[in-house]
Amino acid sequence: MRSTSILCLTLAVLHAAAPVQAEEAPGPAAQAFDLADLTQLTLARAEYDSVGGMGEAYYAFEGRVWARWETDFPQAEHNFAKRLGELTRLTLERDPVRRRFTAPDLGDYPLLFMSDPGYMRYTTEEAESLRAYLENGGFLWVDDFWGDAEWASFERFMREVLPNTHWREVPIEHPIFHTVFEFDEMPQIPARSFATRGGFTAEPAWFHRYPAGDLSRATMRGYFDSDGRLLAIGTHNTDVFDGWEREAYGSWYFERFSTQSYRMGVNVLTYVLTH
Amino acid sequence: MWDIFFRHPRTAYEAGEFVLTNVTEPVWWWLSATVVSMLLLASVLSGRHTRGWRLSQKLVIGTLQVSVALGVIGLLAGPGLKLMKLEAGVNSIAVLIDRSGSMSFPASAEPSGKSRLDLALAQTRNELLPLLNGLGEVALFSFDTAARREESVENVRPDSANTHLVEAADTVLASFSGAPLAGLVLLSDGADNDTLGALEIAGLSRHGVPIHTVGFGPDQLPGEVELKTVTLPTDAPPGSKVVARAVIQHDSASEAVLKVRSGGTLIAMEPITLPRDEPTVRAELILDAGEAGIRELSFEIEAESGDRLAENNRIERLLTVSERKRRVLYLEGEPRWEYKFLRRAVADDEVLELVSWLKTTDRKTYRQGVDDAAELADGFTASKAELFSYDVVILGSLDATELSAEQHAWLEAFVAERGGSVLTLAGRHALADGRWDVQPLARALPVKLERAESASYEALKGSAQPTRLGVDSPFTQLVDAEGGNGWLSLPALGDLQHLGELKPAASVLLEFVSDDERYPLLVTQPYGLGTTAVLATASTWRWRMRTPPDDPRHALFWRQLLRQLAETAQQQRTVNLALEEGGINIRARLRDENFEPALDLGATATITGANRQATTIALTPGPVAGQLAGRFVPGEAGVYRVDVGLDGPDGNRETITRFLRAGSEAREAFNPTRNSALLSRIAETTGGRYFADGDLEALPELLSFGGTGVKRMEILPLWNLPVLFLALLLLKLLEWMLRRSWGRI
Repeated sequence: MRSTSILCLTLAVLHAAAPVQAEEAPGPAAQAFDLADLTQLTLARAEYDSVGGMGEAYYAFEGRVWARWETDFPQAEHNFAKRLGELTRLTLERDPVRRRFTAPDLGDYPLLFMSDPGYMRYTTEEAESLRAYLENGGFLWVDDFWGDAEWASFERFMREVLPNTHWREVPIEHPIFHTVFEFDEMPQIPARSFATRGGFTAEPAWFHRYPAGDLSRATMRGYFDSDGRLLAIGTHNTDVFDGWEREAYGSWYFERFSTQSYRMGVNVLTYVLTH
Repeated sequence: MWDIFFRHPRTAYEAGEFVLTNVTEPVWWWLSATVVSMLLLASVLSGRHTRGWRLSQKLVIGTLQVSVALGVIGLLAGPGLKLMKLEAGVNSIAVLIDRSGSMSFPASAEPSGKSRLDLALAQTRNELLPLLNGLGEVALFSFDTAARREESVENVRPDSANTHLVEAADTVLASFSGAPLAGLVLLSDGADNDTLGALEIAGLSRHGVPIHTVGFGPDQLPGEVELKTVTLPTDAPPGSKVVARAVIQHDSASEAVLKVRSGGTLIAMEPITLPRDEPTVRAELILDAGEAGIRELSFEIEAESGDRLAENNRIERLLTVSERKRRVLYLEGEPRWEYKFLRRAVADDEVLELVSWLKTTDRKTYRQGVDDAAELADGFTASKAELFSYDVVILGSLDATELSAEQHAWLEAFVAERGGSVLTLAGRHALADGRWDVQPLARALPVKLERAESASYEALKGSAQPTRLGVDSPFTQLVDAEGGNGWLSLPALGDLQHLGELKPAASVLLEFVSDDERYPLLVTQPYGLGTTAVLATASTWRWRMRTPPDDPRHALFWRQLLRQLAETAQQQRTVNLALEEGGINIRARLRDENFEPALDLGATATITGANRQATTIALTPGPVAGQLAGRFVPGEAGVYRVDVGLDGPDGNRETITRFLRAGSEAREAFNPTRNSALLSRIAETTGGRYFADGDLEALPELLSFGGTGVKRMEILPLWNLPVLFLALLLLKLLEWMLRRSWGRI
C-alpha cells in the first residue's frame, strides 16, 4: 500500500502529531483489556515502536499517518477473518485486537500477527515477555518486510527474544505448506501499489530500508523449538497481509494475489492450531 | 434342675424317638382313651353332682379331669425314648488343638494373661479328657498348616506358622476312614489364613462326623488397630498416579497415620481418623508410580495410642510399572486452541499415544499421530476392531452427523462392551448442541442430553474448583510448585457448556465457579465395563498461556486425566496373580480384537522364584470363556516372577509378566480376635455344637447320643419322669382350688 507518492506526501507538520494519532487509532484496536470471548478465535496484532521519524517509524497514506505496526491493520484481519469463516470450520471474531508484547492478556491470543518490522525498536521487557509467550505455545507471524536491512532489524529483536535459536528457512516440504492447501513455493505477494498483472512481483529495493539486497525471492523463515515445532515465522520479501487487505482492489489482484494470500493464511493458521 | 424333672439329658430328647412300649395296637389304645374321655366329660356335664353349675364351670372342670385321665392312660402305655447310644470302649474321639501362631496371643483382652494355647491345653487336660473318659479312645492331634498326631497334651508346643484350619480338620477326619469315630473336638481361636468359601467348609460334612468347636481368645481387643487389606492396580505406567486403597479395622476411637515406604523411603502419608462408631475405615492414597520396573511398597498404619499388636500393622505390596502405551483417539470438529494445547500437553508423555483427527474445512481433515496413510483416512476408524484398539476416545466440538449410525453404535459399545473411556469436551457442536442426544452414546454419558432452543455453549468467565470428591480423586490431583493446592491459582476459564441433569451414577469432580454460581465442570460415571466423562469447557489452554512457561499444571491436568481414563479402560489381555490357600493362582483373561473371548490361544506360565529356579505350567480353560487358569505352590517366601506366554493360532507369541510376593507377612497376626463365626459355621455344617463359653458339660451327651461311630439301641423309660407326676398333681390341685372358690365342692 505504500508508494513513492505516499512518501512525497509526507509532511513535516505531521511528524510530531503522528504518534498521538497512531496510539489513538479508533475502532476495534481501542477495545478494553477484558477477557476475550474464548468460544471463538480472535486475531491479534502486535503493537511495537519503531525508530526514526516520518518515512521510517511513520508514514502517511490515504490521508492519515500510520505507525509501522499498523500496516494493513485492521482491514487485513477483518477480511481474513471473514474468509476463514467461509473457507474453513474456524469460528472467528471479526474484530481483531492489538496488543503490545507486554500486555498482561497477550496469552489469550496464541497467534500474533506482526507487520513491517523493518525499523522496530524494543525494550528488554518486551523481548522477555515475547519469549515467555512463545515458550508457552504462542506463535508469531511477521510479514511485509523486504530486503536484508529490514530482516536484520527483526532478527536483532529475535536474537534478544530467543538467544539460543537461529532462524532457518522453512523448506517447502514442511507441513505448514501442506496443512490444507498445497504449495510448491513460497508465494511473493507485492503491496497493491506495486502489483502488476504480470511480470515482477517483487517490490522495488529503493522503497525499503537500505541496504535491501535482493528482493526477488520470497521465503518463509522460521524459529523452531527443541521439538521441531515452529515458534515464529517471518514471511520475507512478501506481503501476505496485503493480499487480504486489498482483496477488493480489482479482480485481477484478487485472483492473482489475494487467493494466494488466503491459501497461505489458512495453511499457517491451521498449522498454528495443530502444533 | 433338668435332671431332677426329666431324668435324662437334653441331648437324648433331641436325638431320641418317642415310643409307647406297652402299646402293640395303637388303634385300640386311642379308642379306649377316647371312650374314657367322653364318658368322663358326659358325667361332668350331665351328672347329678354337677347340677346347678354353670356350663363354663362344667367345661373347665371336665377338661381338667379328662386331662388327668389321659395322663394316667398315657403313663400306662409305657412311654419311652428310643435312641442310639455310643457303644462304650469301641469308638474313638478325635481332639484337635490349634497350635498356630495366633494361639500364642493372649486368651483374654488383658495383654498379660495366659495364651490361648495354654488355656486350650489346660482345658483339655483338666476338663475335656476327664469328660471323654469312658466314651471311647481319645486320639489327640494338633495343627498349624497341617495336622499331626500327639502322644499327650504336654507334647503340644506353640508354633509361629499359619493356620489351615479346615484343611487340618479334613485331614484328621480322613485319617479315620473306616474306623469308628464318634466326633471331633476342635479347640481353636478360629483364625485361618486360607480364603475359605462355603464350599470348603461344607466339604467337611462329607465325612458325616460332627465337629464340636471350642473357641478361645477375646471377641474384642480394645485399642487394637489393624491394616486389614491394601489393594493396588496390577500394573501402572511410568510417572502415573496410582491409587492404593486400604482398609483399616480398629476397636477404639483414635488418630492414626497411614505411611507408604518404597525401599525404606517414605513416599506418602495420610492422617486418618478412626471413629468410635465405625470399626472399619477405608482410605485412599495417591502414589507416584515412578519409573518402569518393580516397586516394593510397604504400607503401615501407626495409631497414636492403644494398639495391641504391631504385627498386623504392615502389608507389603508389589507394583509393576510397565511402559505399555495407552492409545488415545481425539476427534475434533473444528480447529481451535484447545486442540492445539491438548496435543502439546501430552506430546512428550511416556504413556499416552495420541492420534487425532481434525476437520479443518467442510471437505478436508487433518490427521496427526497416525501410523500410516490409511489410518483414519475416512474420518473415523474403518472398523469396530480399529476403534477398540484405543483405550480412550476424546470427542471435541464434533457434530454427531459426522458419524454413521454404525459408527455411533461402535462408540457406545466401545464404552459398554470393550470397557474403554470416552471424554467429551465443550464446544458449539458438542453434546446436545451437536445432536448427540439422539445417539447411543447419550446413554453412556453422565449427564442427560436435552436439546434446548438456545445454545448451551457460551463465553463465561469462571474458575475451576475441585469438589470434595475431586480433591481425593486421582483424576484431579493438582499441586503447585510449593506442593499446595494447584487449583487455587490457576487462570480463569473463559467458556462453559451448560450440562443437563446429572445421572444417578455421575460424580462431579470439578465445578465451574462464576459469580458465586457453581456449575458441573468435570463429571464422570461408570457405564457398562467402561467410563465416560464430560469436561464442560474448551479453554483449559489458558492454564498454559496465562502461566509462566515452567508451570506444569496444564500438562499435568491433561496427562493425569487421560492416563486415569486409560487406566480404567479394560485391557485386551490381563493376567492376575492371587495368593490363595498357600498357592499362587494365575488367571489370564484373553480377548480378541473385538474384545470377545479369545478361544484360540494357548498359554503357559513360567514361574521364577527368588532362588532363580523356573517352573513352567500349562494354563487350562477356566470357568469363564476366554479365561485360562493355573496354580503354583511357592516353596519359600519371596518375590515370584510369572511370565505368561500366549501362543496365537498364527504362531505369534506374546508374553505378559507379573510379580507377586509370597509368604512374607505375619498373617497370623491379622484378625487377632476369636473368629466365632467360622467356628460356629463349622459346627453347624457338620452337626456339631460350638462351645463359646468354655463349658463342656454337655459334650459327653452330645457324643453319646448325637455322635457317629458304633452304637447300640436303647429305650429310656419316660413313665417315671417326676415332671409328669408333678403335672398330674398340679392339674388336680388346680381343679380343687377352682371348685373351692366356686363353692362347688
